[in-house]
Amino acid sequence: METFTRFLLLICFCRHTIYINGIRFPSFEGGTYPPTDRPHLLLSVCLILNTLRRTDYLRLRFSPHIVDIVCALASGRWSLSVSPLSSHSQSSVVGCVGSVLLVVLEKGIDHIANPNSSFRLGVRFCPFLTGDISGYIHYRMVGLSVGEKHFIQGGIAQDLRTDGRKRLTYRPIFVETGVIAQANGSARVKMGRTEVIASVKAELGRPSSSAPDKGKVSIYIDCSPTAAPQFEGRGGEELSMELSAALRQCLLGGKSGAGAGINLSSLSIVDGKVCWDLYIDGLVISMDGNVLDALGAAIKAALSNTGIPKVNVASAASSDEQPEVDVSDEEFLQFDTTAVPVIITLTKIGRHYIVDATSEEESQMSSAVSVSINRQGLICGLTKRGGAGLDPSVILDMISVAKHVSEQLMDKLDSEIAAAEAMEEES
Amino acid sequence: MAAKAGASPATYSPSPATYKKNRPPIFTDVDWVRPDGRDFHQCRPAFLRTGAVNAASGSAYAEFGNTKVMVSIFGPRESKKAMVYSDIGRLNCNVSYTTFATPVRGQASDNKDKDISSQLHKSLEGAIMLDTFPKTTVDVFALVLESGGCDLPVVISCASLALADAGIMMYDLVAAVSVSCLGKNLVIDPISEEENYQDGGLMITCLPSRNEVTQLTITGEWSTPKVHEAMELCLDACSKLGKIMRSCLKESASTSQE
Amino acid sequence: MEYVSPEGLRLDGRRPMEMRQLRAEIGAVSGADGSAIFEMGNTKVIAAVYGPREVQHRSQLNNDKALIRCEYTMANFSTGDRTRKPKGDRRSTEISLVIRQTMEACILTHLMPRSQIDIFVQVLQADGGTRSACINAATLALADAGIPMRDLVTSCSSGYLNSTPLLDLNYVEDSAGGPDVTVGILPKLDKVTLLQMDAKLPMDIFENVMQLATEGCKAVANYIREVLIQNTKQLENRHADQLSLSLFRKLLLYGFCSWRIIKFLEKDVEEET
Repeated sequence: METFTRFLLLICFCRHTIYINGIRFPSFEGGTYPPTDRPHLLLSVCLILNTLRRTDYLRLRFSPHIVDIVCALASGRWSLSVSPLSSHSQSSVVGCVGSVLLVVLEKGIDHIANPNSSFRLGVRFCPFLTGDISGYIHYRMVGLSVGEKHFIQGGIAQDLRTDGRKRLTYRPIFVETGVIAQANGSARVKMGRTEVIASVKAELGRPSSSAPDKGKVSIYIDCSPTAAPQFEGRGGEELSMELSAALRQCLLGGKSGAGAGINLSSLSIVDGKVCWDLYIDGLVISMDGNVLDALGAAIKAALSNTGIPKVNVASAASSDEQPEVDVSDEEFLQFDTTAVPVIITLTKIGRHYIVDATSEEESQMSSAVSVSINRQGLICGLTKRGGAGLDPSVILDMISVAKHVSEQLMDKLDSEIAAAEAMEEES
Repeated sequence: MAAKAGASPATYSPSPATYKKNRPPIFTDVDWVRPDGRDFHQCRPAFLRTGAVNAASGSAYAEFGNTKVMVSIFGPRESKKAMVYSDIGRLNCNVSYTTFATPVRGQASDNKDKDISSQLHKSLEGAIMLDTFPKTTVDVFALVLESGGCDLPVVISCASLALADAGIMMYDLVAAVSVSCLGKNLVIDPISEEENYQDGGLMITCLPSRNEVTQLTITGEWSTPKVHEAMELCLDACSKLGKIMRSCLKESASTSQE
Repeated sequence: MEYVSPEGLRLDGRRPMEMRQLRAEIGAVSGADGSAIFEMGNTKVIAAVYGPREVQHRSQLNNDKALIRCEYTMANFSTGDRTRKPKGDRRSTEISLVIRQTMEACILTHLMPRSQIDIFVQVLQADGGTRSACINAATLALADAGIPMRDLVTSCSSGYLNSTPLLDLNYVEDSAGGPDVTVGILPKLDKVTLLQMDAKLPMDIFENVMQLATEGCKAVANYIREVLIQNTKQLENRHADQLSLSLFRKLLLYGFCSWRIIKFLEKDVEEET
């Protein structure tokens, strides 16, 4: 079974029956389809597997004669492993799947398979199987097949993406505030299958000597291994750092403080002595593309959810002593978030660019430009990802498109945040 | 002043009031002179040399005003065994600061190094023909000897020169220039003093002869017309810098032939 | 300090034998094979299961059973004082091990030889009893992933403060330094898979405290079973139809299917949800 890496094996049998999660799938029963003159059948079988959730399992009833096996398709997209249910041995299932592949090889794989994929097979081959063999088939996405790549690119060129969106449409955004009770402010943002949590904690600290009249803000992002197994251990660190750096650049403004989403002077309590340190922590829980925009939105929502405790400074002590500060438990000051920009990432695929790309689309990108834009339509930060170079005029065009999109996104986000806060107050 | 005017001072005592951290008023006005006397749109004189490190397969040294940078290239060498197979080459970038690079010793933090390293990687990867050396890795080690503003652009330009010196296939040399926005003015190739008080910064790395931008970063608040202006300014400077880099390469090639 | 008032109420207003509010949500991480959020009062954890899938490191491959791996991480904002902990400190390594061993005991690993199952638990809020909450979340996530198990594993903690056995300690009670018993059971088989205690207790009192924790586990098991049944009912109705609907939508894009079928299926799905 370990030899099946980087294979998609789709199996369709004559008089086959396909069960998905124990439910018999109705539309593919009966009929003999030679693979080469009915390419659409291959396509439809391919689509069945695409519509499955990864936890679904297929139960395949293998018909007694392997000659009847109609098609199996190999491409780079799925990896597959087979393990038997209780009553049958591993070798028979592996052998069966292997024979399916061999039939495909004999019947001319070049008609159906990705020409670039190579076949490495080392399975035990058992030529004739009788009876039913059921097995769990585990498959997972390892890359896109050539067909899917064309499908995504072609769709974007025609302004119709795989999930039915247009190029400049966002997935529905869902905002929930106040999810972390211990923080001063928090929010959870879902964009399609991307889900992030941001929390804001305010702690008393000392201002830095270079800016005695300002507070401090730091942004840290973590990628939870729940989002993807490769973030296990230290695996998520690289992405976390990149996201943190991009968010700092997009939200904290220039060195002098111009364009900052958060007014640092408002965090000062006693000049040069006490200030608020704002810690913004982000956590990526589930990942399906466009994480940066989602984090930007979550931070904006968390900040508008943030209450900073009111502070009473006890009598102005002499200039050397640390003044005594009394933090109120009841009174909170609302944070002004009108200046916090939104981040819009435009992903360039082919000659066009799209917003809110899913991870499938992101795998096809040549480059992506993230622009942070505030209410006034001013650019507060910009970064570019992806190796391919861009013509300067394209970048300027992308900026103007982002500006246009930002107005809609800002309105949508504001209304979502308001709705979330209303919900929170109700409960 | 008194100490200076008097005969030789017997003891050294630092004057406590010299460090004023407030923003000097000159930067906000319309008419001010840059600390080093340049025009707003004038770059610092650039000094570029290739072949500074003998042991490396390619290296370069760059000096822009007070910013001094050395880059050495090692490889292409075989990728580590643990890495998965890749049909394009890998680029491994590492930027470090010497402890004496900044006015306060050892100020440049580890985090900043990593950030700059990843920026360097992003800027270079688009210019290198990575598919010409599959399964292998090229190491780019940059050392900032002295930080005098515009460190990242200088590192990037110097690294592309070193890559060319090492004979790594590239689509074009990568030239990088940054501008600072101070009040109403755009200041090209800022020194660290100007960078510290800037309202915004914009950096472009581009392939001058292909007219392609491989990396663009903007910080601070910018209006669209200002971005246009700054980009034009940078691109113009990039193409000039590209010419200087090219002539530097030609020169070193001709001397080595002799 | 007084942890139980003379009226018999605890610091957060609960009775000694009262559990905190439970809440569970299945399928919080859509990219994972199975996932769940589990809340016990203010303690909130999220668990995601990936697998069964190929074994990543060949050296760990088992020819006769599945390999179970577990990683426990705490979010920066999960505790009252914000701290940035390095990943893989001693405490999280220990808890990872505890969760792994507990789950391994209930998964039918021999059915999935040569494969690997990853369990990732992420603590969003910590307020005592994270260990128990993690195990409960992991059980739900494994069930959501459709991984064959002997039985559900559920866990609950109890303690002994002010000469009173207390069920489901929160952070304040947990850090009081009294004995803290964490129990994990297989409720249907009535077997204990996890038992941990620090500090010391007389034998007869320990039995009482453990009995209390076991009762807690059973209450959790009832709740979890209810959540799972609810979830399965929803799936049953929706899944088959939605599968075919999304399939036909894609077919339409290729021009192999007519709008009529889609409209028909859409109506079906709407009626059922």
